[in-house]
Amino acid sequence: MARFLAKRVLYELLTLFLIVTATFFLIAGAPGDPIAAKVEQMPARAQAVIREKYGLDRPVMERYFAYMKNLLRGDFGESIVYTGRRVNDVIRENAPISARIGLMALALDLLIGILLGLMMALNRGKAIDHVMRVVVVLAICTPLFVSAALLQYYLAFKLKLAPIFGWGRPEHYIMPVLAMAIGGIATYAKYMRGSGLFVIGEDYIITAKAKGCDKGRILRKHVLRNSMIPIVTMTGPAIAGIFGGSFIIEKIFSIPGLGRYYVKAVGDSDYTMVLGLTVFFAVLYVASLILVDILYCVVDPRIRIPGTER
Amino acid sequence: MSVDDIVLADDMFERVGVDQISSEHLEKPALTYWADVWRRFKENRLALFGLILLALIVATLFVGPALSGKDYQHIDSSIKNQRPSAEHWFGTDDMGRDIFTRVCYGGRASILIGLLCTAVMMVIGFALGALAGLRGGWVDNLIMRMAEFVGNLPYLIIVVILTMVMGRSLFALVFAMSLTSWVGTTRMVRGQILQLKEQDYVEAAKALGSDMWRIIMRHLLPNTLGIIMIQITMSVPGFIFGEAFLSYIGLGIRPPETSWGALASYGQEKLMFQPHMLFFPSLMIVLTTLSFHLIGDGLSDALDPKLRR
Repeated sequence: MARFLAKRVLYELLTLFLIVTATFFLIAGAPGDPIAAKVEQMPARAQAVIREKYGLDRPVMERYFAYMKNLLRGDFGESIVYTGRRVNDVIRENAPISARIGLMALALDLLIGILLGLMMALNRGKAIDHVMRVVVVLAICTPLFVSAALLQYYLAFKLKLAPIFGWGRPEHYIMPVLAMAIGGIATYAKYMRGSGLFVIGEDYIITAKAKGCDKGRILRKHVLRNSMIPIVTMTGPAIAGIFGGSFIIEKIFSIPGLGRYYVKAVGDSDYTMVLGLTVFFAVLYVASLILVDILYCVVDPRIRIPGTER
Repeated sequence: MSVDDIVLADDMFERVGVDQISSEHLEKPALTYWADVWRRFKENRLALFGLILLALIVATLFVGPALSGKDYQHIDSSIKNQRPSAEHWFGTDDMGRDIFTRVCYGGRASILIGLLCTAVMMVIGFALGALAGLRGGWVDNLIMRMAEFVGNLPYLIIVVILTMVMGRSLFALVFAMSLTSWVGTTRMVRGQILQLKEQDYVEAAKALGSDMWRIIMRHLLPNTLGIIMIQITMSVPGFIFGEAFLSYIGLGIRPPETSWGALASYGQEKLMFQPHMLFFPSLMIVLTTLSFHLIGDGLSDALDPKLRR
């Protein structure tokens, strides 16, 4: 298992390196002058100074190596549009906010999704199953900004259950986390239902029952743990989904998170900021992939024990 | 009187003869593979509903503007922000444009993008998957390594960066979204082809002298079509969502062209006061996605040999 993991980690680090490199050259190669808007009004000499500051007067390869060197020291660069604003500061101030919302949403997703899916599997064919299936399908078919906007409209605006938008107090967490969790809950419930139904039909469940196991024990020790394996493999892409979702949620609920800054940077054509944040997201993404690989090894004992056929 | 008392005499029986025609008669008509799939699909009420719904939506998109008679770009501030009425079926937006017509035009763009991206993804996916499955060896290895790497890339970030760098033309959008999407299809096609190429009819075809191209087109492709179709029904709404997301962060289709995503994200900002601006484009997205979803589920049930009826 250790060898398997080590290989995966190395592979994913290589992926990270290639992503950063590709992104750097893509952005460096973008048409137009990155500081054009900024230096429009300035005399030629000032332009030259600013150009030099951002290293834009040097050849691409030189800039690349300088950037990578800085990166290894943990320096993500400085914003072009907002002078003096370092990418590191932006990350430091806003990432925790996005992370908190994202993780809380993920926790909700897993908790409610898994339990809901299991409930649906156990009550297969009954009314509650059909109702929940319709709800789940609808939730999956609705784009995030629609369901978030609807939630905002009905729960916050009409029913006044939570603040509509804003940030600063604990209650401001409610709406964004809820909105972000909806899609995930539906997806996990759907897959958990399928996985649960499959596991329930397996021979070892019948064996356990025949041996006299009570229902609760069967559920906890056998059904739950075995149905969760495919769910775990979905968590990796789910973490990637947090980034995308955060763009939308933060915009709708006016939350000063990293996603919102990323969208702003893209809109401003703030190349260094975009590059820096992209690299940061890529690092997080690859870290989550590694985490999922480890989790997968932990959850599925068949991987740990050599010689077990899958 | 019991059974033992019956005496059987020859004159109690009459020769009926053998009717050659009726003995050849088949009880169940022979169906081709696809006719059988269609039959099973039709029996699934939900799937049929999905198909009809999709057909209705597409029909509306094409016929709608002609029916309503409005121009999707015509600005008239005097009638802005109206609720749905007999005159404007979906109401008007904040510039007085008829929302119904805009939704029809937007739908064309959304579905077109969805179909184009899916088509590109399918072509690349099938080509690479078939290549990997058939050639094996280092070709297979190379393609699988590439797939693993590309599959590990953060999709959203790639799309955003590419769109930012390439501009917001239709080509750029389709390119950005389909560039990294071929991985799943490739893996699936490769798996299916690996299975299929061991079949006897492939060996027979080779023995009869068919070249590789013919084997692919006449034997492998038709048999892979089933799972490809299911993938298509899953992918189109995914790309529609993708374009909607890009529109939401400002990178989607460029005005004056519009899409459901662009309309919905514009409407979302005005939700509190003009809910109908968000409602109708969103409804179309949900209905279209739902119909694809139902069709996909129906297809996978119809194609599943284990559910044979």
